Amino acid sequence: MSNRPYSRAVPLSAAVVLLFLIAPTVVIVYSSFSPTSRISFPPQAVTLKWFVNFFHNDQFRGALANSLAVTALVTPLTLAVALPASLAIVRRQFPGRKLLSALALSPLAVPGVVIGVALLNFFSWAGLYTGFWKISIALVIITLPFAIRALVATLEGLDLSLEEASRNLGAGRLRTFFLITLPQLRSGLLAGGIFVFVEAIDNFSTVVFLTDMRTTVLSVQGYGYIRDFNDPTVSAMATILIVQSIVLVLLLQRFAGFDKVLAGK
Amino acid sequence: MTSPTPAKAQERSPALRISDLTKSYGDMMAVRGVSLDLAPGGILALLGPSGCGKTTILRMIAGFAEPDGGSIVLHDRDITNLPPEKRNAAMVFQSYALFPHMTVAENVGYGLKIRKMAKAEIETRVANALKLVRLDAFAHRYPSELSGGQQQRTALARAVATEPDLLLLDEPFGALDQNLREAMQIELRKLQETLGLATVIVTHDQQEAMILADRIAVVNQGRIEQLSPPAELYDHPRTAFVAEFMGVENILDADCDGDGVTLGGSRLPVGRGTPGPCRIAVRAEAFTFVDGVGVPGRIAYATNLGGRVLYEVTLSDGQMVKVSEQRAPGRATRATGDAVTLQAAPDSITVLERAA
Amino acid sequence: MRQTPVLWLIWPLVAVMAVFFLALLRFADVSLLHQIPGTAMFEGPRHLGNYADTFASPLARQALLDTLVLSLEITALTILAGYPLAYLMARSPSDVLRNAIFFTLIVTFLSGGITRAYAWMLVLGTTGPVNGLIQAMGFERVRLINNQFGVVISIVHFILPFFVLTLLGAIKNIPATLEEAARSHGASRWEAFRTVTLPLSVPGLVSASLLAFTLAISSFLFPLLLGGGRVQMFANLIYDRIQSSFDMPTAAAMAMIFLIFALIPIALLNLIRGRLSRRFGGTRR
Repeated sequence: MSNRPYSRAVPLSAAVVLLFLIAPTVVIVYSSFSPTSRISFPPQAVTLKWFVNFFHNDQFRGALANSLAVTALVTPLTLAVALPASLAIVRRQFPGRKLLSALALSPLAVPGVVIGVALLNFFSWAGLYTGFWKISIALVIITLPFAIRALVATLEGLDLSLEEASRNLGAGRLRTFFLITLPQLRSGLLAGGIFVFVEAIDNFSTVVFLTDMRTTVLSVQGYGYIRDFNDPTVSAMATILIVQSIVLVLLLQRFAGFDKVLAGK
Repeated sequence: MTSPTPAKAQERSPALRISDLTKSYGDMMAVRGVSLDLAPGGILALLGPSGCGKTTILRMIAGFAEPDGGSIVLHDRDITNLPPEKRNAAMVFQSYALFPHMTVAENVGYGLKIRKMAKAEIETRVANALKLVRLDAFAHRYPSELSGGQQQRTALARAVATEPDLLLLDEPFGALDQNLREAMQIELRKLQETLGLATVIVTHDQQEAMILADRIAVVNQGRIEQLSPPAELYDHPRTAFVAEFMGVENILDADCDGDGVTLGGSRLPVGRGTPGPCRIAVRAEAFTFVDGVGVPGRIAYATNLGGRVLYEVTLSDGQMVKVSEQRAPGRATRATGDAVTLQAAPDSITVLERAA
Repeated sequence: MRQTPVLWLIWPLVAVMAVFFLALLRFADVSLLHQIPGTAMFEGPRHLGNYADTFASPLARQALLDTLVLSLEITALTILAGYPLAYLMARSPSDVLRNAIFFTLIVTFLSGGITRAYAWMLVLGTTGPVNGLIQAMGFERVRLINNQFGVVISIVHFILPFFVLTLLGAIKNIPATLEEAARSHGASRWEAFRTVTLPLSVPGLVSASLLAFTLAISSFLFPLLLGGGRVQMFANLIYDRIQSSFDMPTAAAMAMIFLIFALIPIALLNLIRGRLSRRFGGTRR
């Protein structure tokens, strides 16, 4: 093939890397249906008992409920904070604009453990002892950069003349925002929202410092279970999370297109 | 590697010979059986609308697309399946494709450096190539610091510096504004003549093809509709597509009788074709208004173009004919509804080939 | 027509950032204090003793060095594994292939840290499929986790999607016609890549590698689960300090040192970014 710009070595090495990427996912899904944590092939039996175990375990049930409650608050809240700020960063000129956008992204550069210990110290100093609020505030801080990146990238790609046309045709500022600007931001909001959601469910290194006996979340509970037990209940949890992420990806592809995710990343 | 071919041999065999080239993308036949020859030192233009397959032909010559069938022979060397770098056919891209991280001199010397030429030799050749395009003062600039025309000339210098067997140009002037484009076209023509480089140029601009090429291949739906010298193409388009593409205003239904045509019920003693119903191509300026015998019609609309007036004339059979008349001082513009009689200049009616 | 005042738009962000930076400032302050024994309270006078203690501790010094070396190793491996994938995604003519790679990357990326850490424990464990394969070929079982190997592999796996997706954009922005131009002027595929695409991708490669390094240096979960206590990365040392003694001032000093080390490469990049974009910028034509 003279017209392909790369030699056969490129797809070959890429195939090895892809195998490396996908293998753990395959193995963990496989193990969630297998009778023991010892993986045997071909499968000796197929069982759903680890899924049953996951939903019957009080700690997992509590962690799942907490995780869902936290993400239900954090995802819309982060987007609500990020949207007006992104509009200001992209559309307005004001002193400190560049500094603000740099600061908004700064939590990305700080190791999660450092954020976790710092917030642990800060919350006890400030007298905040409710696990739910401690975790939620931490997650808003951590996920804001993801949301702002996605929204800023989408906003920068918008054609201002559409909004001008809307104003020219007689729509007010608010109606133009809701009828013209917001629908065009859908992909950015969706991509940003998914990143926020996934990070909020998955974050461990910060949240592990903020959970307590009463309030734990899936990631921390999963870690504790792996440490203390040797059965594939966590595989069942992982399979559920993987299915969820596949659904999210398809959702994203359906409504936004993959390229938008890249802009948001 | 260029081996100078003896002049005599060059006269006999073409520089480039393409035979029965085909290419499809999925169900879409992009190129269907294209054959053509290019004489040493000649310029051939592939002319056609976007999507007609001309760029695919060029990319197959360059080696960026693989033909499904047919062959490409460059100086008696079959290059059909060679990778691009082994063809010694340098291409100038529509976007120029200058390497942004290299200076003008590094860009121009790129092909020579790749060929592992000695440093001193590269320097001389680069200097010569830059002098040829009058960019010697810009050798150490980066492409982003150049104007569009200068970038274009850099791309040209880069291509000719390697002394290729074939120069390929893909819409090379598309990104330039009108004035600069004309200047560059003339400059390219002179450069090509000086170097005697066999050249293939792809363009959708018929005027550009006329200025540059000594032969033009009009490409339509993956086929060459007509391959002729520019003047012949202009005067005698063979098909309706070519006629339209060459800007012929009137393509009319008529009856041929061997040495004349009957148009709108009246016979004109011009145009040769096999007897029977036919289609003819006539330029607007080939018609004249006469007082005597001719084709009767009525003025439907008049447009003043400055030096000329363009009339739309309705014939008795309902066909619309465009007639362009020189505006003379003191002569009033004809009014809508005026009755007129048309006559055509000798040799101005081309009888088109019937659609296959 | 008056616009909405900017302050209305940005105050929620400013409030969140205020919490974040107040927490960091308070933390920095605590790092200068010391703990009143038997309580969770701190007292002055402010001093740098906690920092001096950290640098004096062989354990902390070793962890810092290990963290830096491991992060560099991980970054290098990520580049090796990720560049071909990003290149293929940017240049492959096949939509199906591109989407398949993208899907794999995103699903891997979204499936989360705990999931992937546990998956690697299963894959590389003594009873896992890799060891099964090794045994089937007639070799002795190999210990693949509870050591550096497992930690490095799992972190590379974690970082790859971030790296590839960041680099992909940069390679996509290099017009494919530049490679074609190189080819038509006599360069082989490899030469065209080496002289044109590779140098032009350097700015993107630097940002993507920096992201990889930043993620590697902050790894915490993977060393915790796959290191088996034998791989002490700095984040884990801080965690242990909090878990074992709840000595906040010392942990704070360690965290501050760690933060500075994590920020150094970012600061370095900002220093050379101007030069990079001058050298490789203006890619438009």
